[in-house]
Amino acid sequence: MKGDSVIITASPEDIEQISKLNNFMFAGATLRIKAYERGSTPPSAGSEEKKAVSQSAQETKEKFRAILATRYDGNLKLLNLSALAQDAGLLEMGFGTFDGKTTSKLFPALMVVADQLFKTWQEKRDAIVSVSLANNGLSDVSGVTALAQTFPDIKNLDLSSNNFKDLKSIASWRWKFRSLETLVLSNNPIETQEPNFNVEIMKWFPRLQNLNYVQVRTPEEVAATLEAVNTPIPISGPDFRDVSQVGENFIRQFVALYDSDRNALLSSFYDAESVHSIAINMSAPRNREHSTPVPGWDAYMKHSRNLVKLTYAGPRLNRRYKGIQAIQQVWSELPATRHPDLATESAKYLIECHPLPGLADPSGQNPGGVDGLIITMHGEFEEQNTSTEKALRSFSRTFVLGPGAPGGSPIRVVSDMLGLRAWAPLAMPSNQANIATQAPPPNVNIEQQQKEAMAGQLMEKTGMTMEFAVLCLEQTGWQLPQAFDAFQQNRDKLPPNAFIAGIAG
Amino acid sequence: MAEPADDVQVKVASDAAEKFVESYYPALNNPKGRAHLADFYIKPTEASPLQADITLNGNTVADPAQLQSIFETQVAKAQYEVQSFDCQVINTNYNVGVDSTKLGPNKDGKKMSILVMVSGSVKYFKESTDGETRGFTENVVLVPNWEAQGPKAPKGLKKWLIQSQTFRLVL
Repeated sequence: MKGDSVIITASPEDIEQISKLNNFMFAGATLRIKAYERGSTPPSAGSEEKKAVSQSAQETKEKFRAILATRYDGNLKLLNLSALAQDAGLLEMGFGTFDGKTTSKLFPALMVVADQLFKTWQEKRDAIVSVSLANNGLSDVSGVTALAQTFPDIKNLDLSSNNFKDLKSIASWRWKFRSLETLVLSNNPIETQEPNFNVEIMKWFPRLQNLNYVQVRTPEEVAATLEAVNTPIPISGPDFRDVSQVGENFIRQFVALYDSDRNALLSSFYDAESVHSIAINMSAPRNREHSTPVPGWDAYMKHSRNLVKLTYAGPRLNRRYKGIQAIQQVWSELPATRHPDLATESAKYLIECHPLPGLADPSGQNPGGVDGLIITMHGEFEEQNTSTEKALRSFSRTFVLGPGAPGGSPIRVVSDMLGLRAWAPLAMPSNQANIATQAPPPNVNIEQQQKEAMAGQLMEKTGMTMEFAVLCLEQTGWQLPQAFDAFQQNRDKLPPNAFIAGIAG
Repeated sequence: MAEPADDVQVKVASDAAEKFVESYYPALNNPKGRAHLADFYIKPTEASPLQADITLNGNTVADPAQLQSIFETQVAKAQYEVQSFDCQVINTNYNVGVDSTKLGPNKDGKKMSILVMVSGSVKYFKESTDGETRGFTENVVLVPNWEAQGPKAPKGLKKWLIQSQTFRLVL
């Protein structure tokens, strides 16, 4: 950030895309977007100075890279940043102790360079699992806090042989390193000065299994604790209370016909009073382990009736589609789909159903109302007409079914409400949930669901913010939360010139 | 009286849905708000014995009192965030619990039942451990609170109550 300007790094292909936003109106202001070459400074600086800074910055970066290379152990996936004060290369660059002014800039800069070695967060996570900051004379983590932003997912951290006296000296990492499994704090004054530090540290890092070479939790205990926190209300199998298999039969036909013949589906179950709408949740949290880029929503956007965003009465009315004709028009504009097979891929669905009283009686015989069903289907589908990319979406779709009008189909769709979000695997019933008491719908493979559930519980989940996505996406490997997080944190913690261009200054 | 016009239906339903998401989720997020969760639901009476149908993560919940107790005892702390919601009118002339002399339609949309589907994120906490951000989908069917209608109705009552609720963590 420089004044009103935001400076980002992007690949040439992205620069082309991002540049298209030049002169865009955003939040009442016109965006000016220009591309600058790598290593250059923003236009305020003189061109001579720019050149010098650029060259110097480049040299600094190369030195950092060389130092990082010697300190990386590929077999152990360890980035060994211990005893930095004794590093000949760093000493040459002005590195003394972590209290010095130069040093406080050097470490964040080193982290920025380290970060740039990786194209995606996944790549970074895979390459660096452990970090050592042992033997650095650290009395608190303020000088090295950039580690938590650059490598938030490390599992092992060695802080031994420093000068940490109390919990306060590491407290700013209280909510960081959410994946930490091993922490070494031995040979620090904290061991004697705060005898109960281990109790507190265990609370700070819920996944911690080893502290100072002692096992403090088993993997099973970690999984159980997280399960209890993440799922205070146990996840059970679908609650499917059907009436005469009406719900089951409808879902079977719906899934088959929606993919193959939407008009046949309309004429079988929809009528002049059926209502359909679509709402997109573009902020839905995603699973860190499954963070494929989200395919564009263009085909759906003009139909989206997300009332959080759609606040005017006109569009709210226009995007509610009533009657076969209106629904047919919308469906003809939506991409063709392929839903997983209900029988063979049932683990990709969770379908719930229960009776719903108080529906209108199309025959007019029961003015007090008749009973129907409310069905909610959670699942995924694949778009068919995107040329090469496989576009997967997650959805939840609620149907209200009621008795049909005399002379028509016996079952009619009263409501068909589709909710779309970026793809992520469904949270499946957990082991602990009392599945036995639930009536599973036909063909549900409970064993497979349990397996997926156990795998799912160990995965990291996170949220995202759309406004920042366009700017930060590619740089952070389409990890939206990290993109936002990293950008925010860097902006606050680093002065403008603490980035590469400023190191040499 | 006539059926409510389309624009009236959409307006009344959207307002009811909006009011619901703006009051229900803050009540879940606020430990004090949970003490009043049962107020969001229909209450069975002699004239209308219908009980709210509640399912959380596939677990059938007996009644609103049990739901409230689940949140008061099992869910230490939660942060629900509504990211999307949509609504549709299910029945323009909902008559469950209505006196048989008053079964006609209401042109102002006061007799509708409304389907609301909410999509959002939730994070649970326990002691000092923060859970992971999860995704949820929830649908509710709102029906009129008959007690809040009419000239003698006490002020401050909710106009719409939950008749059916299906919540599920989807991530």
